[in-house]
Amino acid sequence: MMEVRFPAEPVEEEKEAIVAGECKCGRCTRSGEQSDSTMASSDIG
Amino acid sequence: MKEEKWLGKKIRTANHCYLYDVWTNQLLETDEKVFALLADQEPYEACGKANGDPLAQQEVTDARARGFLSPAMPDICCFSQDRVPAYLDQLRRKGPDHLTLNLTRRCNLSCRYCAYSGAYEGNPTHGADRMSEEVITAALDFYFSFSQKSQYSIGFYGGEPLLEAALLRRAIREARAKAPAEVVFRLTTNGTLLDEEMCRFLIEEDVRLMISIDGPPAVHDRYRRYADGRGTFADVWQGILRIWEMDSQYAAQRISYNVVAAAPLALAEIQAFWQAYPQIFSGQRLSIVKVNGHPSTLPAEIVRDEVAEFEKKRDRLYQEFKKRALTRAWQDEDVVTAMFRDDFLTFHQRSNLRLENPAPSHGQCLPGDPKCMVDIDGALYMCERVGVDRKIGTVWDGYSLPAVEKILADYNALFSEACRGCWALRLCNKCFVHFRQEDTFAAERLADFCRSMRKRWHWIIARYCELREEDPEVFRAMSDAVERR
Repeated sequence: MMEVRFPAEPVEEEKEAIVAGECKCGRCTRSGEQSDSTMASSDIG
Repeated sequence: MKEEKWLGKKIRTANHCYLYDVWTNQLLETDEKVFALLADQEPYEACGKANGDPLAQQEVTDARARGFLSPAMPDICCFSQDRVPAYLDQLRRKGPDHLTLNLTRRCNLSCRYCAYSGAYEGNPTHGADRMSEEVITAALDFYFSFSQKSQYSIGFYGGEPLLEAALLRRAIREARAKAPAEVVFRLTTNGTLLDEEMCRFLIEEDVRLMISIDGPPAVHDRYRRYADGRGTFADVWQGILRIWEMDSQYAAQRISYNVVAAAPLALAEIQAFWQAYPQIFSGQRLSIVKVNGHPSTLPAEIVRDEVAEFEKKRDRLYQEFKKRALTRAWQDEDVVTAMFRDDFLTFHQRSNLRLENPAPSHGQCLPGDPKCMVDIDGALYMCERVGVDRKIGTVWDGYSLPAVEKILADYNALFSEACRGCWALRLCNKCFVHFRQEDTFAAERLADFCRSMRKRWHWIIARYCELREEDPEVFRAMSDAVERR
């Protein structure tokens, strides 16, 4: 039988980042904003 | 035999088959027969053809009865029509969290990959124009009119903002005098103008600095050059050392570094450089950003490596990441961390909630929130990355809600089709810059980004599974380690 493996472990209150203003692009680096958003660095492929 | 449709991605490791199910956001372990039975949006995986095995079919039916592998495709809604008035009202009342002032178009460098180099359609180019004192005053009045904030954040950008030292000083002085609450200043610089006087000023004003440095001299000087062709590394390095010497506590807390990873990628060289100077780089935030391939006329050899070449370099760094992860040898920020950690943790910490229908498209921001850029003439834009085609207001009149609403409508029109049926829907980090074309959005540019983004997530999820096969707790430990910092 198919089983769930490696379940996710959200650290914050679970919600989808659906709402306005929750920019996930994280490319705020050039403004010096030092955003905590993820993915600032990882899409260089 | 017809393949079974579902919304997800097949993931294969050396010994196991997994299904990333989008509706539930879960990974399921399965066998070869079920693996072969299910369709795949972009079949990177070598697998046998569906052969109609009744047991495999029954497995899928049972999984569906438990809520997994739904064949339904959700409708996509980026900013639903009924919520738009609330978004606009929020924008009008709250204003931006962060305001960027583009002080000048002038720059003392002439980097080939620069967004203002003239290679990008729709972007302004370097020139003599600068922000006037009147625009600065109006920009601050606009920002501080949102008086309920507990903290304000103002960034200075250019061109090279340190070329306008007098303007910078005036803006900071005026902001300090007018701000209704604490104000934090940030500045992005090429690092060539950090003389003693400027360093003292930045330290006294506690300005958060982001310094662009692409790596060791041979890497940095490939593209980061003065207009006469001289490399800038020596001057940047001298500036960095000076500021550390003048106030190491300030430097440790307030400096971060930005690497533009132009091709040919020199990841190993950058990593070696970072490791060679722990007294400068250890514990400092590092961002690695790629050169945006379009809309530009930059030659491909600057923008990205050949795929095989990139994968070879990436995989070499990944081996170091893997070793650290499995031995819990966490290290401060460096190239290895910057390349991989956030993506793995993003996947590990994903939501356990079932996808809603209509489903949101991810990544895009609400224009003007959380950030807003003021150009030299007082026009407001979404951020410094988006060119000057889609103005969203002025410092005198505030946000133009119809302009914002039009962008939201354009988002919806594009994403409702483009994101439909995409297995990476919940992981996406698309941004306006990926698909803008003058004042419209280009579906084919978005499609190009989507292919690349799905390929990247496929690679990440497969490595994620491999690492947890070896050590089920590896990402909990990584998450805890990040939390403790």
